Amino acid sequence: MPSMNTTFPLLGDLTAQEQQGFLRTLVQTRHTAEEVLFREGDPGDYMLLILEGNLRLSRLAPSAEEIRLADLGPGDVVGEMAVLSPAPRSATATCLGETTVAWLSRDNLLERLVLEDRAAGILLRLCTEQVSTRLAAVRTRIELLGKALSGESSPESDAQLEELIRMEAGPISENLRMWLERR
Amino acid sequence: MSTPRGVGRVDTLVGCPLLTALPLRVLQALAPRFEATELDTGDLLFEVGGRSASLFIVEKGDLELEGAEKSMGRISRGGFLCEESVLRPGTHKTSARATSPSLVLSMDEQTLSNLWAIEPASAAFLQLAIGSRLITELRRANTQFVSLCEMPIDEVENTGMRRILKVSSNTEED
Repeated sequence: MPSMNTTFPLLGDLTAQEQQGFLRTLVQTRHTAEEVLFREGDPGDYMLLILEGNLRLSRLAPSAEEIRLADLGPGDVVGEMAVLSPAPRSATATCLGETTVAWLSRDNLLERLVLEDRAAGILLRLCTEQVSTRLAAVRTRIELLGKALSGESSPESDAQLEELIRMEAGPISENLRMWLERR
Repeated sequence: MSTPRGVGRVDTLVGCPLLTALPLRVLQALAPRFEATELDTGDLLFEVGGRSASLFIVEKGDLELEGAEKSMGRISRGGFLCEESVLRPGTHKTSARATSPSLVLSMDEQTLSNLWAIEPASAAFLQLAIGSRLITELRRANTQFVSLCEMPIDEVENTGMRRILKVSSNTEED
């Protein structure tokens, strides 16, 4: 049985009891190590809430090398953007061990919103806020990198970009690494 | 001079690409929550540097977006602006000026927040529409960022950038 103590930041200020009540209404499935829950390019219109165990998100580089994007655990969610705006998956999700997830499809979310389900509303609000934060961060990166590439950067923006690259993991640093290798 | 004038009309919301996928009953519930403002030619709807906390939809007329010394685009009937502001208030990076007599609908952050308390389903569908739009923008921005990262190194003139990339490379090798 999955732990009933897992709480989800994306369910905001719902109490642990309210969160569990919401999670109990979702379909839950249990998986074994190495099982792939979805692959890069698969149609995506649902999100997964990790109740127990761990998932690895990865994608394939043009060289066919696997790029590890993130390891996620209980309380994390995967594919929340697909619920808001369905699109092919940008990564593959693989179980790292015994893993239990709860499934929330876009249709299910819409039904809940029509019924004024509070948990679904909170989830939606926090997901969109998260997207907005991500968008602001990517725009900052574009601005900094664009300035640097065009030679319009200042010592301050160079320092910001340097810090950003040092902190980055995943596809962005991978792209920069590939760029360096082509020199 | 801009003048508040009534509330939004459903047919304007139906014709707005941001909201076009929403059910009619949701649009009917949302329409009275929008405030309509009349602008004469030359009036500013908002100015660069001002607080940005409202979504705008043009019901009638045309607006020009003005950046530093140049036009950044034009918005006409059905067009929308600043949709992100109701989720994440900030400051306007451009000014918007009416280039013909115009009527603009607006909804601010507080109104959306209040709507969640009184009509959660309508608020949710509006939030979902804005969220979908932001995801489209995010996907586009990610693609643009990756394109910048894939720019051939010999096109980079900036020695500072080369130094940064060198530091990045050394860090990753460590």
